[in-house]
Amino acid sequence: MQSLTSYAIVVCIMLVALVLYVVYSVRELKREEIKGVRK
Amino acid sequence: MITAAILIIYIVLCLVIGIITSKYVKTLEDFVVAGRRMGPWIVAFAFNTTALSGWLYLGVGGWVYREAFQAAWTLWGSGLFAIIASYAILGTLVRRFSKTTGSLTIPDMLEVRYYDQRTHILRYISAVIIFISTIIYIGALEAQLATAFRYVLGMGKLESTILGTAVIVVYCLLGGMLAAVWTDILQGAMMAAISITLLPLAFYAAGGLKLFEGVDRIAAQDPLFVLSPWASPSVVLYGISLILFASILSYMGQPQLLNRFMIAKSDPVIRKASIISAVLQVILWIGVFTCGLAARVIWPSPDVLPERNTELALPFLIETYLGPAAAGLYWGAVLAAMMSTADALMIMAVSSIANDVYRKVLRPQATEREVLTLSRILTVIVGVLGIIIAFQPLLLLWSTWLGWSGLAVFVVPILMGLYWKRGTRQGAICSLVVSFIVGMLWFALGLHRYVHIAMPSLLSGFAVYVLVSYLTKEPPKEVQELVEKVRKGVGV
Repeated sequence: MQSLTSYAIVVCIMLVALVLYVVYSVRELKREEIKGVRK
Repeated sequence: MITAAILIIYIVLCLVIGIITSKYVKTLEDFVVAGRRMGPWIVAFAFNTTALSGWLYLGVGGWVYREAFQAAWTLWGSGLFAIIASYAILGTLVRRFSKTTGSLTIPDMLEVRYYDQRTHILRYISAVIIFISTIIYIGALEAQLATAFRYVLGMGKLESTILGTAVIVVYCLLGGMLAAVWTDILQGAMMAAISITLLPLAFYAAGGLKLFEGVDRIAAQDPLFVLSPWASPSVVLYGISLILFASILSYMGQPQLLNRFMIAKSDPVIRKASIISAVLQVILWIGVFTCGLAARVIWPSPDVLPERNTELALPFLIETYLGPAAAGLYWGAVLAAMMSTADALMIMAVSSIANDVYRKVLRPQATEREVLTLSRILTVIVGVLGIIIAFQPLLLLWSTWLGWSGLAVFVVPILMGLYWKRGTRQGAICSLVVSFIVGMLWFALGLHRYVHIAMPSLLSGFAVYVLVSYLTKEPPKEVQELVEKVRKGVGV
């Protein structure tokens, strides 16, 4: 089942990268919002 | 019959939206950047639907069917990393630069950044590259549409190509960008809805995890059917040319996508849109990728497929397992993807001549009405010339990629111009010309089978840009200050 391993790696790389990006972007947006309110 | 009915209803719906929204197009700014007042959902949907055409549903589906995990490199690149990179590296800067300088198009931006307002050389070169690449790209879209009409309505190649061209031209004549971004929402929703169903369908049709047993079995017999993204050095080399050059850098070079950043209302809109775009893109890609594998497992030989065409594997899978109504909706999604790309491309190609050359240089006193009339005449010309490409015996995958790679050459002057204030006018001019010629030659010589066109094209472009910039006089102080100001967001 070599292809199952390949498929799992391919999809996992995408999903992990997506989750990390969403978390990072939401945090950045909140940080910018707080900075905007302080200004 | 049901498939055809749904397809026709969808085309009529798109045309109606085009007619309604065309009434709100009053100025060239409405036509080209939708008045710079759009929120994150519209920016994101406009970006994704413009980037993806029937190439995803037909071309990529067929590619996975033929070469399996080699396509994973594009899945990673175009399916996610290119989106993140485009928004993060260029999104905010392109919006700021265009707003600060009042640029409506990428040639406008290049002219200001490279202080070329006197000679307009960059404007002319950009217009030529955009026009030629768009004709190729639109031709590929006409071929995609003709494939849809052949499959669904049983038409011949000539009639289907003429009908496909007519639909694209009429649709593009109606609205402009304001119409395009509103129909993008409908088209993006349609694409997402269909793509979500593709993932479960793939596993259902192939018998669950038996899908992978089948993939292993076929790979043992067919050496072209790659079992792992790093199966051999040549697969990895090709993969790097795909992920880094054909996907990430090429996304950042597409003027029609960079133009989507200009319609955003503010900087936070760009960041919010990037999240929506990234999620949507992953949804759109994973289903297609998995379905391509499933289709190969179910029909190991392409002899069973309609016209023995591997690019019809996905619609055939849907029709077989979900019935004609679902197939009609699938073709609707394919059409949605094509139309949303076609209108953006057409607007860009037409405005590169009508706005960037005719109004800005040749006839500054031209009225709005005159420019709009010229835009409409050019739309017909691009559509008709596209037929030449539509008739070439090329895979849809490659005809689309050729137009895409032609437009990708703008990444060099845009990316370097926004981040490196030392980049000069001569560097930008030489890089555009060299990378465009290298890309077209690479394809003409058939070398794209070993390394994707975008890699030699963009590598040569970057090298020439840096070299020529160092050899020529540095840009004027005010240009260097503008680059700094835009990057830091001071007073923007």
